[in-house]
Amino acid sequence: MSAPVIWIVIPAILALLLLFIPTKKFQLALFFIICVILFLATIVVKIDSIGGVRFYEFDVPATLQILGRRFVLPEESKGLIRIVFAINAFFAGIVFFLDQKSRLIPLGLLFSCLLLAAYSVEPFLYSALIIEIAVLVSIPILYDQNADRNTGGLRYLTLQTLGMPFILLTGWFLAGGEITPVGQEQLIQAVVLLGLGFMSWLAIFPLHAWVPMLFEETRAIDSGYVFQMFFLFLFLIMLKFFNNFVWFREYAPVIQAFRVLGAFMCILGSAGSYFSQSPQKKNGYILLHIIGILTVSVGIMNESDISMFSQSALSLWAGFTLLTISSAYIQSDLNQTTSPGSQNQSAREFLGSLGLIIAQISIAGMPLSIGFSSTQNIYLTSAKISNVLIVLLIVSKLIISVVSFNNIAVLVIKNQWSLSDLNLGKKELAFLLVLIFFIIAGIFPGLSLPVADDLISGFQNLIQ
Amino acid sequence: MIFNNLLIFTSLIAAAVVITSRDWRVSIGGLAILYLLVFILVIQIWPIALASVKLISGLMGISLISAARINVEKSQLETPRSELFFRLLLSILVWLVLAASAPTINEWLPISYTNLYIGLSLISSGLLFSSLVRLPYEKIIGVLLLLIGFDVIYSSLEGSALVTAVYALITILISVLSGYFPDEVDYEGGI
Repeated sequence: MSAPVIWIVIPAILALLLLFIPTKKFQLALFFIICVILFLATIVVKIDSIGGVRFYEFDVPATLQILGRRFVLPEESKGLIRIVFAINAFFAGIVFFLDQKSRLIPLGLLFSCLLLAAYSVEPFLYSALIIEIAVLVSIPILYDQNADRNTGGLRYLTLQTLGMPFILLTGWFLAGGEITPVGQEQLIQAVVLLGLGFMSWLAIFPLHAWVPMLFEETRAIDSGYVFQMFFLFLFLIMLKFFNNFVWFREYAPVIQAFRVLGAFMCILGSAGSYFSQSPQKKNGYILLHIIGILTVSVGIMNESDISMFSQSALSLWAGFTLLTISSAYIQSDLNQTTSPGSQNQSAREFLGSLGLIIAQISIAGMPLSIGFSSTQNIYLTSAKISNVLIVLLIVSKLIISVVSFNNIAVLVIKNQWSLSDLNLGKKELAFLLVLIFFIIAGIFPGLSLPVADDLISGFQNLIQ
Repeated sequence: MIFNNLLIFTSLIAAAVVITSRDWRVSIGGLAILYLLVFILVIQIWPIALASVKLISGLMGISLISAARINVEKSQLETPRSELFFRLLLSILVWLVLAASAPTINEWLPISYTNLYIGLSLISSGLLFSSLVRLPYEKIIGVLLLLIGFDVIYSSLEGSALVTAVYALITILISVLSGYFPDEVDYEGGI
């Protein structure tokens, strides 16, 4: 028994077994229990413990060997494992509360395990193959069989498949590069291939068009879950490259490319969300904006430290999660049997819109929101580097703010509700609690800092 | 030399058949020839057991696509002849550009010229095909073409049992998806 067996192999097998359970509610309950157990296991399981363990703890090795390849989950990766299974349990809870038809139960568990496997595999080039399998597993989560619109999904499949060869070839080019310095020519070749691979994976311009299309074609909860996990892991895998290859993170054109492309993605995403008519597409463009901000934070990491990335990632993903569940909440309202115009429906529309506004304000980095402190950090570091960069970032955040103000205007002007008329049922109260949690997390940003530190504790070479 | 030229020529004809065919059966036939060709190319470098994994997984993928298509009614929207001609001309243009640039790429990737040229031309054909067609199963055939092309190049660089196994799994899973999505006319959404 090793850490990868506990958190990758066993959950993957359980996810496959869950597929055979016919009752959806039982399947959902089991999914939730498995995620909670795996989350709690991070407390009692010690990985490669140097000293002794307490009477209630278990010591397991960090490495699993399969056909000469190693899957390594060290003690430092437990923070990430906790986040992964907490997200899964949270989304299971959301699916239960919204009573939505979703394939993320149980395929989400398999998807998460594959992403964890991609993160932990050594040599790193094998992560490309595992990510491709994760992409293929995500298609049934995103689309029902015979979905009438699937163009975004097919483009997603094609571009993610295109990314795999580039990363595999980079791995071949860099064989031995971790130990010995590589030549200039080899460096350029590897950087070009790696850049193309990551551009294809991360939907960087001009390979971004599938994101809003896919969001429009799929349920908000499914696309939100899949891409939150997917892009989080892609960024972590990219940081793993930075952590392992000193020459790569110190190569000036790479850093410059991250800054330029990131700033462009920020503007592209925010402008798209402003002009987009469809609320689903709006979410897709906001995701592109988040990818841009995270790309910039990787690009300016050298001037500050890696905690800037982890704090941004955590706050932006938290904002995006709220955006997703608010959209799903509004969608569930449309699917419910409640008669239009009823008090219950009014409460849902009101709370859903409020959730969207809080999420957009957080992503825009407005004061008293969860994204405020991390956005200020990015501004501060960007200002030291380039005036153009800081102007582009501020403009993109302003546009996102305008989008949220537009939503506030719609909520206040178009819907003439009185708060006393709103009938709050169990679901509405649960959603209200989630909103209150987000507001408190925004007022006290220090609460989320330990979680952000957990996310990056494995990258010893990047922590300054 | 003659054998190598024959391999290149056959691969280009098979790719052209896949790209320009209106009937899915003919496209699948072209794809099957390409898998056989990959087997012939890889067997020169790898042991037969490992090389045959590629052929078998490819043929399994083809069977899965065929099983998904066999009961689907023929689309009313038949591809115009001019579009097929355009696809062929575009592919030929790309193959010519590749023929000119392959020696330079060969300095980066030290593998046999035959494998490199076949690999690159199949990758480009796959990309072209999946970007020009409308139906999901055609796009998936395009993705498979891309993967076949990369397989020819990567097999020449590295021979790993695990990569071969995972690659075979990916081929089969992608083929399964061809039956997952229904035929749909391409939707081009604006902002």
